[in-house]
Amino acid sequence: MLVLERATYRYPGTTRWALPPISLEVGAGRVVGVRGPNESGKTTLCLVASGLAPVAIGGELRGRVLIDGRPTVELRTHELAQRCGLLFDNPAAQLSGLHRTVEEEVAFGPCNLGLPPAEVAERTEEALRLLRIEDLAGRDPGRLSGGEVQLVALAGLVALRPAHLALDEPVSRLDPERSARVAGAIERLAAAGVGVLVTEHDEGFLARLCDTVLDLGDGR
Amino acid sequence: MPAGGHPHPLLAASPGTTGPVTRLALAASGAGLSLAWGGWVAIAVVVGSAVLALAMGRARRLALAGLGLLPVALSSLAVNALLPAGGGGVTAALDALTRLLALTLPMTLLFAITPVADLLADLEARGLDRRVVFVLGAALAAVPGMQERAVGVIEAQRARGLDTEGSWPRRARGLLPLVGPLVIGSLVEIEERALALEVRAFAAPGRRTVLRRFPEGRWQRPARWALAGLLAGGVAARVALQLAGVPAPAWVRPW
Amino acid sequence: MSPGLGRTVVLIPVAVALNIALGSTVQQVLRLPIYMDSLGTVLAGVLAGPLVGMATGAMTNLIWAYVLPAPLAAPTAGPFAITAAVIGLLAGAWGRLGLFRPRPARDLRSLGAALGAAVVVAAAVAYTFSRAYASPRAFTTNTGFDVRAFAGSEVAFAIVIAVFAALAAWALFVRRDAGAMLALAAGLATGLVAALVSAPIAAFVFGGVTGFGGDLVIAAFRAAGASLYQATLEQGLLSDPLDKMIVCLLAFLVLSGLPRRVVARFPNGERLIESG
Repeated sequence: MLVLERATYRYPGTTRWALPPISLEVGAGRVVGVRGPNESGKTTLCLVASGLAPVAIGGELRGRVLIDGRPTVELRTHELAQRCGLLFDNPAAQLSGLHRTVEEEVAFGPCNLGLPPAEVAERTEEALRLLRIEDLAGRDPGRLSGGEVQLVALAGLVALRPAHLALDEPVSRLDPERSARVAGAIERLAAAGVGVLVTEHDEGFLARLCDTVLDLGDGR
Repeated sequence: MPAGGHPHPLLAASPGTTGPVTRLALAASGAGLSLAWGGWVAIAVVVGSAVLALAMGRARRLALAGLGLLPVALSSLAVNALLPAGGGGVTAALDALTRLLALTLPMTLLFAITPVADLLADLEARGLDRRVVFVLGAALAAVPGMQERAVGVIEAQRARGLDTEGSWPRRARGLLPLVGPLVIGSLVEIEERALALEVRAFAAPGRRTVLRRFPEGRWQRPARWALAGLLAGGVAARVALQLAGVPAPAWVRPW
Repeated sequence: MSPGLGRTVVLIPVAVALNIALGSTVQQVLRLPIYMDSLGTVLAGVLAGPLVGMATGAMTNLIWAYVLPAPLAAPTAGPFAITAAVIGLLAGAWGRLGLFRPRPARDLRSLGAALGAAVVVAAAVAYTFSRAYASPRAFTTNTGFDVRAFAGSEVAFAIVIAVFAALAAWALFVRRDAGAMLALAAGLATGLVAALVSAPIAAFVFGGVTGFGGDLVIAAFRAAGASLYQATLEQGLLSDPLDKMIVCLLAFLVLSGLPRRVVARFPNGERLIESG
């Protein structure tokens, strides 16, 4: 369960609170959507939900953010990565650029954890299967289409087996066909028990996909 | 393991008989000893590299590297032959050139036959810090993209009227409009890329899993130690001779 | 891994790629007599310190010489990895000293003070140059000093000082930023050190030449009677200060064009932003 209790955040060196106080819950297998116009704090919400704000980037967090009962501020970034994955709105920046194949790229996360090679292989296969991109396994990550990059980046997160995911505008740069593919992947992840937080400004996408949709600014 | 007993493609072992680090030891000792001693040592290293390159089908790449040194060679011979005032003249130039070639060819051959990712993986398996591995690998990987980006900036600025063909003051005015966007764009991205690493658990403690496995015949370890010892000893001996003011023995020098 | 370290780990590859892209693609387009392949090194040093600068410089040259494949590879760059490392080291030092911080000169008095500082720096550099040429013992192994070589090098100094003066005047009176002038002076000093470090490398590894246009200059100095070390140094003392002055000034201008919060997050960032 991913819980935000009146969480509000400001970036280091700024005075403005980039995220107004917000409370929400994302349970296992649920998909919670958050909509809002640009500059309303959607990206900040995802950073806060995944714990990277403030743990990785500094700044000030008020209120509480709990992932499976643990406050994010008490965890280190590699522990956060295994509890809540974060998908950036710019997928190309998220790939490491170091690997010759999609398979090796997806294996990056488990290798970073120092897991035994057999387990790395197993997790990689599982992630590719969950996202239905086994056919991309041997491809060069630098030569993928936009939608494919998105799915590979997701697979890279899923390989760390987080119980939650925060997706920042996952389909804003994609055409309808590729959006549908990503939506399908999100549904499968939820069915597998992952709690997903999605931010988007495309209301139709959120309506089709999510169990609950919130407006940013719905302080509760 | 999948059914059938075949290892997963991720875990396949690398082919070949010499591991990357062993090759590195060989190339580095050849280059280092040539730099220190010059003369026949350098010539031997040059010939050895050329023969190996031919045997491995990399002769073309080595020839191109050698050609890259051609301007230096011609320049050096011209300057030293025509204007011998002070300095050693043509023989000194030839010696410097063979040393340069003996430095360049083994290193070029090393990277012609060994993917950098393999070399880094082998080094990491032996204890190199993951951050150093990342920096080296990412630096190499970033070059083509940065060049493409540079081309993009050049074309965009040209479309806005930037003059790159005129007199040198006009071209000089193009410096900041070309350099600025390229650098600023790259630096601003760093924040996001650093975050992307954290999100993949890059900062986890301990040793990373290295998936590649390299050939490790029993002869490789003693060979590496021998090469390292040869390099250290050879360079130390040359430095000692230099400090003692003793010229290198005649049998080392063909000219 | 602290946030600063994470950014440093990502900064170095970006800086190396910048060096190579600027020194190949952009340099080929503009065709100016400067290398431009050390801007990334200077930025890395200024933003993250001397060790990072050194690593960036050395890595750039080694990758460029031996790892990059044929059309791009520049084998002559390899031995000068040492020079590149020194440039990065110095850039880190200048950054720590706060020399790359914007210092808008708002009134005549501070402009005057900055101008005075510029004159002092130029005089000090000119004096150092003339001393370097007055004592060739440090660089030469055989022939002694020749009066004609000294005359040629005086022309070289004059050009460097003239360019410095012109750019300093621009920095102070057009841009009105004493920080720009300090960065320029730091570049001049860096170029001087780079030339001193490169000369023995070029003489030892290359027989005194590098296959670039500068060899004609070396030949001219040799014709005037200078020894190999001396001639290489004299050529370097002309081209390196020019190149590094411009690179450091560019680095300053680029840094001042970045948003404050971007700069502030780097390890040395606090010393690069205006106080207040």
